[in-house]
Amino acid sequence: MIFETDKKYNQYYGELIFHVAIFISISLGLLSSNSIMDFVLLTCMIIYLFKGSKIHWYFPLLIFLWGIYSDLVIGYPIGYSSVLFLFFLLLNQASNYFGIFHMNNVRFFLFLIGLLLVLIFEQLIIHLNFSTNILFFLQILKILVILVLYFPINFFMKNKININE
Amino acid sequence: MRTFRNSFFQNFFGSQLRIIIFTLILILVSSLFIVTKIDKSSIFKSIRSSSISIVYYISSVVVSPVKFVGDGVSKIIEIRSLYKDNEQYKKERLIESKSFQELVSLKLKIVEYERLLNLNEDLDYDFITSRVIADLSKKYFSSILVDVGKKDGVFENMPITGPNGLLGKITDVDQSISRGMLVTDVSSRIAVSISEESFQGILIGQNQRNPRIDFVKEFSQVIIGDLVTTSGKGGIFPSYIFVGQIVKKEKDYLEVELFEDIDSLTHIRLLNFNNNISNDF
Repeated sequence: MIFETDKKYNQYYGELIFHVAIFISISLGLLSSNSIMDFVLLTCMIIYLFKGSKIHWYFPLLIFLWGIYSDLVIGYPIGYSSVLFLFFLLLNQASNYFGIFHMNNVRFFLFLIGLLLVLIFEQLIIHLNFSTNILFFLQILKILVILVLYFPINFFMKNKININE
Repeated sequence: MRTFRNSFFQNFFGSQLRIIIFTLILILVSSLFIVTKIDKSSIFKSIRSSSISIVYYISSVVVSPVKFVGDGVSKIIEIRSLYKDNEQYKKERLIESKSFQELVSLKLKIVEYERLLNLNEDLDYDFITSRVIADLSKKYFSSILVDVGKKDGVFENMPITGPNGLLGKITDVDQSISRGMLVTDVSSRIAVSISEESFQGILIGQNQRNPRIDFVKEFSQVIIGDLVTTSGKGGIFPSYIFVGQIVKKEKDYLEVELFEDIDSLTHIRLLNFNNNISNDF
């Protein structure tokens, strides 16, 4: 009984820290006037690294709402950030479903492939909708910065926000 | 035991699949929002406009420690450059310079010619000066937040200029904060004139690169170095507002270097132009 209470407490505590981290990451996008750090991608990484093997049904809905908030903060079309956040949540759940959640290197490459897919998708959408191309080099630079932060943030989340224990 | 284990895995994977399916459904819904451009509808537009202040205040409270440190660093850099600027201004001495006298005599000639030709006076407009509180110019959809809103007389499509030229226009207005779309935004389209011959074209934002001009009929007659100004067509921007200079001529478009440096913006002007037109008619 005591262990069940501790488990639930840890779970709620982990989720709270996770949502606070997302909130701070999205809000930092308002300050960001440099072209290298993309806080939307940082938020995607936090969502991807979240160790949620037993998440509740409302979790994707919350991520969707965080996406709406992110679009309101940075002035993007409604739905843009939600698609990105939910895509990385899907990758997170898919890695859990196929049992590769604890294989760090495999997950890292899966994350890299996800980022590249997002980049290609964005290039296509902007090219088709606005007949222009975004600077490819700059997008690669943003991805590299996020990849550099991958393992430190993974370490932090493993130790502070693990709700499996 | 076997039955228990089978049902355990069945329950586990069942709920996991449900989460994945629900996530996929939400992705589809979000994609529909983007495809149908739902934020252009009047309901979403008013929700978006009225939420700017709340979202800004919540976000700025959260990031205030980071902002405090950043402001401190930028103040130190500013003080250093202040001394250099002061030395530069002493050298230039604009009021006694030849170029200032030339500008004044040109202006007097224009006034005289307009009087002789019996031209109608251009619509005059005043402006509101405002501070830039958030610079989101490095995103795909380049925008800035300014600290004026409806209570200060700001309205949608108000032109934004800096000290050197055009910057963009206001897109969302709340009571005390507004969002402006910059000319570098990928969805920005502005009617412009090129050179003294007034060749017409459309200025198209290219994200972080120099914007380009398309649809110029007299493309072959444009040369590098030609001045680009607003043409006034469309009724949103007044005519003859400086935009930039032609720096490149490609196969089917022209590249423009903007006069205004968006990165160094602290204060901007909102031109009370459209209001004058609506009042006159």
